[in-house]
Amino acid sequence: MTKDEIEKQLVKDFGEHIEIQTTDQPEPFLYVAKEKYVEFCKYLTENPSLAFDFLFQLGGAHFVDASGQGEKFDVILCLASSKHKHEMVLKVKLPAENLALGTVTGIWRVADFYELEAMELYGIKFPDHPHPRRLLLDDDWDYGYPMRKGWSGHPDFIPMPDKSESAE
Amino acid sequence: MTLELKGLLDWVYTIVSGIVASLGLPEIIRDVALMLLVIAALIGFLMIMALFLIWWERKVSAHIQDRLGPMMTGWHGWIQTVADALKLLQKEDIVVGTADRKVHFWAPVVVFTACLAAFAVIPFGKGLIPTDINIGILYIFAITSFTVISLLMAGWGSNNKFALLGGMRTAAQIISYEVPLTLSVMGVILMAGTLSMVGFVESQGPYFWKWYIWPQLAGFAIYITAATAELNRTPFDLPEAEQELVAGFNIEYSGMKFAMFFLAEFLNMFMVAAVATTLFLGGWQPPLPGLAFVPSYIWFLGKSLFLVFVIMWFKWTYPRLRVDHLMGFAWKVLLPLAFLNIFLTALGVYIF
Amino acid sequence: MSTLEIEKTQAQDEFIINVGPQHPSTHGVLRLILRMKGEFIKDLKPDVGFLHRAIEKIAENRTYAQFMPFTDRIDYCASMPCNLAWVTAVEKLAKIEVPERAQYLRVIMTELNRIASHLIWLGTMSLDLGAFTPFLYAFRERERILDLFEMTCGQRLTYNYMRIGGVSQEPPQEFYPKCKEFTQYFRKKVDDYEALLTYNPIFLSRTKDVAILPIDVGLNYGASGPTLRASGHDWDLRKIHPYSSYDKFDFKAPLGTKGDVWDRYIVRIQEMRQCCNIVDQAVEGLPEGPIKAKVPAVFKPKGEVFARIEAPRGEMGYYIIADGTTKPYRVKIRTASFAHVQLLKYLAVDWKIADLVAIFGSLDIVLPEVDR
Repeated sequence: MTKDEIEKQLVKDFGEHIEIQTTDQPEPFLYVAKEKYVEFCKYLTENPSLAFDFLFQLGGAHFVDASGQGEKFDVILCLASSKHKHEMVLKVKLPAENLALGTVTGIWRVADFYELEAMELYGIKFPDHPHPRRLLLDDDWDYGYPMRKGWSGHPDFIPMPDKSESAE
Repeated sequence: MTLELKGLLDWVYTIVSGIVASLGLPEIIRDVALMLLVIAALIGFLMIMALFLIWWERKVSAHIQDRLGPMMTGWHGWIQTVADALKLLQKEDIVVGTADRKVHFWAPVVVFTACLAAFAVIPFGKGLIPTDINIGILYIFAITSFTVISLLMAGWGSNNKFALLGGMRTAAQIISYEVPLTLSVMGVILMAGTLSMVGFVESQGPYFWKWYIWPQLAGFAIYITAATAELNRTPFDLPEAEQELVAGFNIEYSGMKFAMFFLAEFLNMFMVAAVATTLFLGGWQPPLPGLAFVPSYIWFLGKSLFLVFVIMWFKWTYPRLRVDHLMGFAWKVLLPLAFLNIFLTALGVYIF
Repeated sequence: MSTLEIEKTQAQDEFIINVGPQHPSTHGVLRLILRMKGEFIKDLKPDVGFLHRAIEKIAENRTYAQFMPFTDRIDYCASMPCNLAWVTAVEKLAKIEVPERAQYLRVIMTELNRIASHLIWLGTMSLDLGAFTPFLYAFRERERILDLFEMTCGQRLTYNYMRIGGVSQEPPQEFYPKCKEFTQYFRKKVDDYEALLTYNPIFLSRTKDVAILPIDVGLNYGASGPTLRASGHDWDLRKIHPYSSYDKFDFKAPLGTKGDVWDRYIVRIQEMRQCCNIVDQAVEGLPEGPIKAKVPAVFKPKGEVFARIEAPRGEMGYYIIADGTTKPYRVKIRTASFAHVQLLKYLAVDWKIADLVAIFGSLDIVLPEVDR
């Protein structure tokens, strides 16, 4: 299915909960509401004409505007279908005050480690994740969430002296 | 003019008896003195053989793997093993605090002693057998069973549950393979009618088509396979390889004690090859009587070293068998084949 | 170190074993915690993160061109495909047309590196199974490929060869005849490896019918590349979504039938032969032209892109959020081994610990890919 066909089908079935992002890329990029996220993912795998059975990756993103205020988080899923040859990008907006999201490990089992990574690098919580644990960072890590913008850094970190001109 | 050592041995005997007689000591001292000399010579020879075999293994494996092996220490690295032995001698002997010290200490001693003791009945050449007891092959199989005890001691003495498990698995493997090993030589015993090692060599006539390998090809194959398993060499070295993954019986050994296990493995390899040479390949006899100008011990060493080379060749060619396949192979394949071999041999001996 | 709560379900006769993080063979720093019942593995938890270098965070502080050497180190056994993944994603984002000669050169380098990566896999897998010799034979062949790479870009392991818009330098004239010589020589060597391993009864007993992966389970666990093709799923990104002129070459993506360890082995062996075919065709049909497209010196793309390629271990891809500055805002790297490490638990449970090495070898996991 082409990008337009997928978008049309999704709007038809889930119209008010999704928001299409216009890009010049050949895959559809769209946002889904947080509450309908897990249901939408199930629908994407079960619908025979969509059949997005391959979760390529799941990651977080942290957005701050210029003044450092207005934090927003995104969870970004890249999906592909093994039956039809289409791909899509699904995103969920999360407000900074309530960083919890449903887990999709019941739908795609590979999401297990991706969600663990998002949990420890961004602080995005997945409350019904089957076994939350530390994945990439140390077991006793308590220096914040490293992938966030403006992370204060590890206390033992000694930065390079800033002698050269900037890398612009 | 022959290069046989019998003349040398007679000369040594005369000298020792002369010394003992001139000192007025009883005859028994002469026998004891000769025995000690023989043991010293044997141990000296075996130590050199062990060093040689370790060097040879490294060269053989290197050339099979398209590389060179040790080249820097002496001509093609022949002193490499001496250098390694000197290094190991200087290492600190670390024993885990919670280990059972006595058992931990005696395990390598037992394995080395058993290994050396088995060489007492190997016929190295014409008249060159340290002692020709009439139950030679039975003695060898009895003594080599000691290795099982030493492995269990090593596993237990380390006070490490994984070392113990590794030791037990190795012991199970060795015990399982002893059965086809012993049965495979029954065919030869039936044909030779004796258990004495010198008897085996002499009953295989002076022509190579009379050697026991031809009628006993199956026995030979079973013997070599079971012996490779007894030595814990690939393709049967999974318990040893799992040391890499988990732990094994010799994980807590360092320095010279580790070297003892290692040397014992190589000497055992030589012993297995020597026994196979005696039983199947005619011992120290030349293939044709015309070639008797080459001394008998050269023939013996040549054949044994060739079999050692074959065993080394196996190691660097085949992958490992999994433990359950290993046990299944011993009990379900080798054992019935060995029985079949005995049955057919007995039939053959009866008919002919 | 914690045992990651694996003992929560430990029964009376089970015990916990720790494998790693140091290994005698070149597995990389992976720690596996196993709960064993006798010989059988009942539960497995991988403890990763020993090689985490925060490459995604570094990407946010480097320009698109400066990030290229970091992509090499995501999987240093196959660093040309990692380069290719990055340049494919950035070129898709900024809609850059790559000249054909550059595309062919990229294909040659990627396929040679695929052979080199499969040789490392072959060596380490057979070493784990106890066949010591194919390891050295594989590395002997790999030396010849590394000589070819050294001739081209001066490096043996992490090449930094591709640039956004093309490749960085033209290989010297003696590269092409040496390439042809190598492929002819190498095809015979693959036959040697097959003679040593493929139908050897010991190897078959270790690998046949061990750890079968059904296709739907594999897809659900994110398996891709030779691991999934061994189960019979005909999915090769070089054929399905061709990139960098792969559609101009005639090659097969080998498929397995059952998805056991032996199938995963044989698929990679046959892939090595197919790579030789591709290299031959690319060297022969190499068009003239520039090796790099014109890209503005101050490169400020804007938008978001999701791109993936077929790396030797599976599918590798990037998701880039570009905000119109010279540095990307967010780069999410997807590597095949990260998904395959999760597959290890499904495959290894109820097999023996000796099978664990065979299964682990057949999945071809490298830790830099897992930890990034």
